[in-house]
Amino acid sequence: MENFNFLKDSLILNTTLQNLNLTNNDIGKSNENLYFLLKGLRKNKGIKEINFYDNNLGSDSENIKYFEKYFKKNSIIEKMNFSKNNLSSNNENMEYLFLGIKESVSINTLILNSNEFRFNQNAFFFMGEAILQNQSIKILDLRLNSLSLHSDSFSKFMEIIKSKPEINVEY
Amino acid sequence: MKRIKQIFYSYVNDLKLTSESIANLKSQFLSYNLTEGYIDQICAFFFKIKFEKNERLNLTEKSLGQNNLVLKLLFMSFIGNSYLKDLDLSVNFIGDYLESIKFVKDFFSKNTEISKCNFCDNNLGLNVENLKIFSDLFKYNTGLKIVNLSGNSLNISSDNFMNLAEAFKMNETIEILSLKNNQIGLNPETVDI
Repeated sequence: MENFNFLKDSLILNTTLQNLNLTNNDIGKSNENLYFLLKGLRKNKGIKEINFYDNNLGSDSENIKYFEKYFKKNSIIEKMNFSKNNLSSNNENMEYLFLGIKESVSINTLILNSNEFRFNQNAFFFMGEAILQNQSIKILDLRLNSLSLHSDSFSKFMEIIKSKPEINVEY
Repeated sequence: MKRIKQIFYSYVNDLKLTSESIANLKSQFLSYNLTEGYIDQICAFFFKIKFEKNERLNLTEKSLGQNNLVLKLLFMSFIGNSYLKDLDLSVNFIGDYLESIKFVKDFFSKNTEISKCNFCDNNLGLNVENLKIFSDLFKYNTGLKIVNLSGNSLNISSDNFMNLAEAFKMNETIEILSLKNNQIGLNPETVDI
């Protein structure tokens, strides 16, 4: 989609923007949206916080693959809100997202509310692997996912979290 | 002058700024044999008195788009006001009226004091030409740091977002930008109006 191609060029040139709210913009409808947007964001030097709330990003794992590359290459982003994006709809989403998070050196707040994680038992395997390696995350927000410590995969994940006392997990 | 002030405040105390109330206000002023230009200056002066020490001004849902005289007076009153930093112009249908868009663009192109403005829900994208004019303010403004453009139908035509993005290329002050609820990720042909 051309809109994000236009936005890409603005993001490459812009040096003052720190916080961008893209809530509810149907970004997940096309891979091209994220291709252009993240291309711009990779070259942007100022944005520390982005809100992707309610964009159905998880509808196609190719979307999330772009985020993997972004997190690995960007060292400025500090806070990302992926709430209500259907992320747990397939294992590839989880794998790509948390492979990126694993290598991110700057992200300190990751908001993953309302992504139905209780239906994807593998989510916490990938999340746990990432959290063990990542050195920058301080806040992991998992609220509105109906999580319970009675779930085997989530309780194992919380065991991993105990070894990282610097991380505050909300659920 | 005291009577004029009383009349004026009876209309603006609750900020019930409808076209009828302003027309009524102006007709009462005209009955004092004042010229329209002079009345505009008086109104602006009183607005200035009313708001000059406010750091924040909430003008949401005041129908300012269709009452462009009020918008003009307000902007006149803000000139030289160094207190006002945060202006809420949300839900005013500004994008529907070319004259109002021009007032907004001209005012913000020169104003350097206001650092936060909420333009949420103003139909700014419904008319391509109007949005193009509005977008230009981001090329020239050097004061705004926080801008909310949520819910403005910015994706109605393929030219809409291009004009806005072009303007952002030249902006050197905005730090926080909200583009929430604009369906930017869709093809313009499939956008619901």
